[in-house]
Amino acid sequence: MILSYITIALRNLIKHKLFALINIVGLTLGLLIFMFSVLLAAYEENHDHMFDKRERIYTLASKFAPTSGEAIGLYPDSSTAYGPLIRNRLPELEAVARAVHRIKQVTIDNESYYLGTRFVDNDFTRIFNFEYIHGDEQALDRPEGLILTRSLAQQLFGSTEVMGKTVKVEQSIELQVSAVIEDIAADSHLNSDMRPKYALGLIAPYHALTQIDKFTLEGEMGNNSAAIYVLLPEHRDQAWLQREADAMFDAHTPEDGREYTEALRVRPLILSNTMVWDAMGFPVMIAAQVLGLMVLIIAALNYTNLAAAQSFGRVREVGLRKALGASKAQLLQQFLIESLTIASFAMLLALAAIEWLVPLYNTGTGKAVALDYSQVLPYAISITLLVGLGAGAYPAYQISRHQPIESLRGGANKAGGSQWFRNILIAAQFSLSIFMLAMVMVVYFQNAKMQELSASFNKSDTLVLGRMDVEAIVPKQEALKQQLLNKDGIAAASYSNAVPFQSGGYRRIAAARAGDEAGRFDVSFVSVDFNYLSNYRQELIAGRAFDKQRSQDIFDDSRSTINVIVNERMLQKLGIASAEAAIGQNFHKIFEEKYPKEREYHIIGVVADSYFFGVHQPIPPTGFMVRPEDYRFLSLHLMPNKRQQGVLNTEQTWDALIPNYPIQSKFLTYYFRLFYRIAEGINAVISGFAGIALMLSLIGLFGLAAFMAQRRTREIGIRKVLGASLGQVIGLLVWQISKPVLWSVLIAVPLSYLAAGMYIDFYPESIRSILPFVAIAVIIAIVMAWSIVAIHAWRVARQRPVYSLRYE
Amino acid sequence: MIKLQNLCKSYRGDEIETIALNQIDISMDEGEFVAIMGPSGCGKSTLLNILGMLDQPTSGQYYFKGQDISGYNERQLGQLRKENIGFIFQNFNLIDELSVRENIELALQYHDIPSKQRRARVAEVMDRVGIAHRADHRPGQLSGGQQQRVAVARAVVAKPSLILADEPTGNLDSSHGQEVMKMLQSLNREGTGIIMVTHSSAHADYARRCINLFDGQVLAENLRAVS
Repeated sequence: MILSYITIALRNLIKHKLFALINIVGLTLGLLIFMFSVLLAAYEENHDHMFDKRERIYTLASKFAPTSGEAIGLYPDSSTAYGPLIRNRLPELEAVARAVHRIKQVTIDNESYYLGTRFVDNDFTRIFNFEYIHGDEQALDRPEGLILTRSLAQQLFGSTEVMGKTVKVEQSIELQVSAVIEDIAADSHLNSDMRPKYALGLIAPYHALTQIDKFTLEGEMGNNSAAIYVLLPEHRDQAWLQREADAMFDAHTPEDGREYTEALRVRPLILSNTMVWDAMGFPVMIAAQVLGLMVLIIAALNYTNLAAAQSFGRVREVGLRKALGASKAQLLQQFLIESLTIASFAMLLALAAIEWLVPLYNTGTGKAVALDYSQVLPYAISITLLVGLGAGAYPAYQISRHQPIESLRGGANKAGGSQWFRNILIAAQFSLSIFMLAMVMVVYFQNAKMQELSASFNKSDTLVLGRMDVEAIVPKQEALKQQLLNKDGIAAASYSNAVPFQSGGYRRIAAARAGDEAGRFDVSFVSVDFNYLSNYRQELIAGRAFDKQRSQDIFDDSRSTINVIVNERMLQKLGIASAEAAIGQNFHKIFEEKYPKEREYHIIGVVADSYFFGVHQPIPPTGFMVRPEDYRFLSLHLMPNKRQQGVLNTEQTWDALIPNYPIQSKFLTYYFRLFYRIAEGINAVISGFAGIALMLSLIGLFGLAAFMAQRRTREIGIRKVLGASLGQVIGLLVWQISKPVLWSVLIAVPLSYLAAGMYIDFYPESIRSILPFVAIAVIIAIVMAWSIVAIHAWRVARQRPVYSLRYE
Repeated sequence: MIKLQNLCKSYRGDEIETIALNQIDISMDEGEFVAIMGPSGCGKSTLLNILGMLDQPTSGQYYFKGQDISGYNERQLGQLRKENIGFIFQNFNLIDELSVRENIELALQYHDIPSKQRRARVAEVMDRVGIAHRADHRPGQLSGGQQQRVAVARAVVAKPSLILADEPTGNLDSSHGQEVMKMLQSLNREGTGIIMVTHSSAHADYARRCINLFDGQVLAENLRAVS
């Protein structure tokens, strides 16, 4: 019997190819999105499962103050001083360890590499139980110890038999390999950072850092450089640690430090990988799951609608079956098996799609999501049952409840539930379509706006060489620049301590008058060379450029007055009306404990505002000065038609001049993208879900239109017999769908206005008005709805009336 | 008024061609009352649908008021139909979502008639078929006889010169059937032509002329004594 039901189900699919296609595609999309979002959430929530004590591991994150000017509220790292402070305050903690990540030059047998290195307190290995190939958890108890992962040992030495081998760091200290550990899987927070060179490779003692950088063992305040891990004893919980951390913060944090970091936040390790999202106030995991579920529900509703519409064609079959003795239960069973067949088919397709999608996603994000059927299968089966039964229940009930004679006579026009219910469905579909369309458009145009704003810097023709501040390279800076300028393909070159979008430079507090605490504001300073601004095409709107001939134009620590070029925003802050009026004016540095020196800034030029520090934040008041000891980057402006040649010449020149250090070159595009990876992530998530939901609601609309037109086939016939023209019939149906569409406009417009407003609030510089996009979305959705309905109406109405009248 | 010449209608199935009507030659004068009889599947309804321009013949000529309409397109046919023909169906074909009054008015909606005049005519015709007290009911709330009266009202409200009735009494008991036949008869006396398909020889007796169909061909044509 069941087999015969399945056969009938399949025959029906073949008979109504279009409906079957819509049904299966819609359901497959819904299932795919839902299963995928569940898979991702499970992956993220099961992070760091390789560490036995992960439930007891917590981190201390920094909560930025509103006065900090940071775009995010929460930062995963905190100041290095808090590690020893919390350790000493709470002896009952099982372990505390700081980890400072730095990219360092590592030399082995005269071969140099830049490697991401974690400098950690020795208890790091007691918090995270690694799998040791050689050595043990005491590996870092000696200050010259070093831990390598298996793959890094293979890469550097070609073997894991490397115990005791010497590794030189930053050409200055020597460490000996004291342990080799197995690689850590991608789903650990140690490997999940999207930045390059952040994956776990080298683990060095914290002590080593104190020898090569300005760090001390007891730590500093205000640097936000360390991930601080705390291993709680069994009987303590997060709330307790938070109270203790608050008390410690209050007791030890200096007053001026609190303007930047106002508190510490204790966070479970298992949440550390979603921290970036949390910090931006975007609960991405919950959002993904809720959106996934919504998409599935929409897909199931679509299916229900279409199945109900389709069942009209089968009223006679049902009547016949009843007349032949089928019970209501048997009929219900038959229709449920049909919908289960379709749901299973869709689930198979969805799983196949996930098989294909997962590796793609892993490659794109560097994650290691795996489709484990032993876990997924029971889940997949229950979802299939739920969707199949849930979506099939309504049409099955509708069709099986009729009296046989009614069905035989053709109760088509009576089946299908109330008009009210259908109108609500249409309105819901429509609200969603309009909402999604509006969101997609706003996201798209906001991004276009960001691209446009960032276009003032030529990203693709600018090659940036980094690490120019390495001690051994500094003496060669001038020679390198001169040699490169003589090479083919390189149009210009200039030094600086920051490049566009990389958020470098440094910040000081300043005011128009000396000591004016009330009028103080933050200033971002960038150290440049004489040609930097003109090379980057930042044109002066008043005053003069830096001049090699004038000694005051070069920063000199012994002088209290510094010549600077400022941006227009600075003039606003200083209350100067015009760029011309600003020339020759001074402003002053406000005293800070860390930077006690008195300084006076003398304005010699004004440049137009630009998004030097990225488009994610308002343009800060900015000052440029010539200060060679700060230089970290060399920006090379390549000739657009000789880019390849320029890159090649750069590499050759570098290797000849600075053979001991590998070149660190990136196009400016890289810094721009690095900066935008978070925004891009959100955009990808929103557009992805929006696109699919939109597609689903269009599919649903198509189904509903078919439903409407089909349900009224006979009525259309009657109207035609009574003299209605094709246009009049189409007009009637279009008018009928317009009512729920108008309701949906009332729902969708404020909703999308609100949501789009929230989205563009992420950006300081946003598209001016959302309303046109919402209006366009409304128009597109209405036109689409009308045309879909009109096409269906036309298909039915153009037939000779006799066929429509016969239709039941 | 109507003249069919050599009219054929066939349906093409997957393998075989079914001939529904085979070389029909019929003519009918204005104001005539014609009954079409014959066993199931003889082509009665097909013939009526073609006469009503709901369907088109495969070959042959159909002259309506002197014009050969076999080459007319759907729009032209619709125009002709709207101006000249009213329909009554066995299963009433009323629209369930509309009230009795609206169902009847529907037949005028597609004519160029001001709404005031429309309402007056609907009221008049409802009175005439005795359904005025049910004007605001839905078809589903009426008995079969009442529904057919609504259908008759709808057929005549536009004052067509010809009414096509497809077994108008088929779903009714005999007394209700009689009632509908009386109505048709009085319409005919006022000059409306009627073509009616029926199984009932008694009801066929209301017609002046009876056409017997068998296997898609005209078997006999005979005049009846009008009762």
